[in-house]
Amino acid sequence: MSAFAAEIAAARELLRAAAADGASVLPCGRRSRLARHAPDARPDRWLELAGLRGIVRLDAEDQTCEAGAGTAPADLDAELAPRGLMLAVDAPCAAEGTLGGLMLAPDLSLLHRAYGPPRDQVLGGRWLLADGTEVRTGARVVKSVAGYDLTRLFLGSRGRLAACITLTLRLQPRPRALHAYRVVSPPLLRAAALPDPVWFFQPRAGAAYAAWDGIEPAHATLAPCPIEEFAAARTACLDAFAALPARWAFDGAPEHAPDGACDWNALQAGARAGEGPAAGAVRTPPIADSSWLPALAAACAPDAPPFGARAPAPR
Amino acid sequence: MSSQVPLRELRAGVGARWVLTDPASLLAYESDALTLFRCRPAAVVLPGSAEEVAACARALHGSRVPFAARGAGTGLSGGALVPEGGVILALSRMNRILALDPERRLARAEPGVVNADLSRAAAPHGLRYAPDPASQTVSTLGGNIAENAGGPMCFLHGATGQHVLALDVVLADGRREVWGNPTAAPESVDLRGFCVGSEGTVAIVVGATLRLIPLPEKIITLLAAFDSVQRACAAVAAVVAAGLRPVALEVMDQRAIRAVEASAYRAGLPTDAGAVLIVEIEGPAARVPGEAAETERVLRAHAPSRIERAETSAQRLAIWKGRKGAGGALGRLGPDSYVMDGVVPRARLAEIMRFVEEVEEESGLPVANLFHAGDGNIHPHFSYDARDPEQVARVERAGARILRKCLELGGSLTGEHGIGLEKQHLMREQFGAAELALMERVRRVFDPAELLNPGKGLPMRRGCAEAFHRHGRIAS
Repeated sequence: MSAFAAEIAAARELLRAAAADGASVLPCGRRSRLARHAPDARPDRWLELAGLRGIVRLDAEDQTCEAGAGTAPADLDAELAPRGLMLAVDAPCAAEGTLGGLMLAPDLSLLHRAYGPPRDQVLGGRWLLADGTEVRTGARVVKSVAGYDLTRLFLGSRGRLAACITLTLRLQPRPRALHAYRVVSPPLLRAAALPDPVWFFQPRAGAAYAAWDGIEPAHATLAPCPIEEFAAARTACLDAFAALPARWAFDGAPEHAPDGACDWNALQAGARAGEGPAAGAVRTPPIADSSWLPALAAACAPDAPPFGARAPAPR
Repeated sequence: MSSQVPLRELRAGVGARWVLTDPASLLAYESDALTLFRCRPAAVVLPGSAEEVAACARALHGSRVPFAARGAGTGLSGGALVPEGGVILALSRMNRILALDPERRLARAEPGVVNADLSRAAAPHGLRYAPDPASQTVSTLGGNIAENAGGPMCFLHGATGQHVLALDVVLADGRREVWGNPTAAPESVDLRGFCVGSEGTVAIVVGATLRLIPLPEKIITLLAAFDSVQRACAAVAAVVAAGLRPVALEVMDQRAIRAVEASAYRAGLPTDAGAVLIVEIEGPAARVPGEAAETERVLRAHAPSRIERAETSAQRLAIWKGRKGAGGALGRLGPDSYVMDGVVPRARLAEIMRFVEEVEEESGLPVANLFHAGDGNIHPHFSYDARDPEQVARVERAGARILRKCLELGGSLTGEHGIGLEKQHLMREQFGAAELALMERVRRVFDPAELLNPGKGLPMRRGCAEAFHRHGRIAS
């Protein structure tokens, strides 16, 4: 009997009933990111998957795991920490949100610079299509190019192509000795004058923070700071981020590095003003789905109404 | 395939001199580096720009002629072949680096740029392009993207997909789109990520925005000799489990070592060792020596016969020249060579290598091993004689047995070479019917007429396989 069999059976039943009633359905976790990522989502029924909690498989030696989509990132972290491992994502809603939400409505991660975006940590997963078919994508190994990488399509679809049951994740060794610094001149980091830090962010105007694992760089533009100060700044940064719309883009290319070391000053200023990011530096285009989404949704479940859409009224 | 190749339109699109139809010119395009499969295209077109690729696609799509893009032809799964009557779009003329932006650490390049040329161009800015397939002095970015190519350094830095920020693509019907964006900001469905590794069946990449990373301050390369491949694999698992993050963890067995040492790639590797493990550690000068020392401690617990440390760049380069030249050096072991590609969870490496030895004995064909151990990605090289159908059958049977064992251990049919023509008949063993049907439907979203590199990546429908000529029969 596969893990979560009862939840999956209930989800299938909900999909079947909704199709019969002509009701639209969208999958969700605990909806902690919903207001930011899909403020206009008004399905007739929610397919709540927060019950898919817990680790299905944790292979510490291989540094991979498979976890239920409803698992809170903070709960996963509590399992990984004693093993010296982590999921290399540091994003808002770690305690109240779910892994599925984190990956399907992806935020920028504070570890992006060192480890890449959240989606890069996902090797594959188990999914429920809108017609109730269960599929697996990807592999449990860290490297596989067999077949199409459907995981990439599903992750950005915000639940419109598939409902997430589990995610197979690449794990990383946890930083062992974190040295925190206030950075006097952030552009120096971008210009590759210093080794890449694990963490790098700017929680408020005039201050940036960086942390290196296991080294103490001697550099005039760095001021060592207590780890508590670093932690408080990190929390402030995540809070500011959680208060912003999820879709944003920068005007003026030099304002950001392509690897996610973005202009937190602008984000913070916007959050304080309570009206989104500061004008000029950041704009927030409306959430625009890919023009391919309808055709992909039809391909994912050809004989059922796609997630978020109603079945045509019976003639 | 009875459709007529629209030669007049193609010549009008790219210029007559860039449309090749004479048999001598076509000969070079009838296979990639996996010579088990051969199929001569009806024509080869060499477009010089994205717009010319789009014009070719429109013409071919309009005439219902199958076509595929090809870079340097170094692929190892038969991915850049077209069925009889089809056309190859060779992108080797599109080899310009369009922009290098050191401040934002990114490059824009055409698909025909040779992998190593991009790192060479970035080096004066203190930057490099991380993916480093062994073919990197020849293979092109477009092919690397189509296969999601890896390489030794991918253990730390990730494969091609993690370094592609945006793609300019031409669809099967000639439409042009941009997938992804250079900010890597949150997005809708990740067509960029989906396209990487789709083996040229979803779209033709005509331009790419790629991430560059800083050159490391300090590099130390350790070369540990062990009496067996299994010991070396156990050491690899221990390094990974210890939470160390070297940039590369590569194993070569004795046959590979001896082939290298007998070749122009000679690197001073110990020919009496059962296997060598190359561990490279890079990063800030303040951290690398300590990590190297810790790595050495972990390695010593696995009884190496010796450990050497290369710190000068000349020593390092010699080791890597040997490692990356090994594939070529192995050519001398037999008339033909079959390079396999499979993946297992890292903790199961020693087990799969024992199995490879068993299969080698059974098949009676010599096998050399050099592989990306840190990623669990094995590459047994079989030597055989393609003129002997019985040997071809044996090498294919051996390959299929090893791949099935990879799956049994929780792995994958391919880590970086792709499914291509080579492994499409094994896809049903890694994926279920629902997954494969879904992949077929998604393919048709992008290419409803099924003209773009048909027959690759997914199991072929009955009757299609005959359009490709090959030695022997498909092993099952």
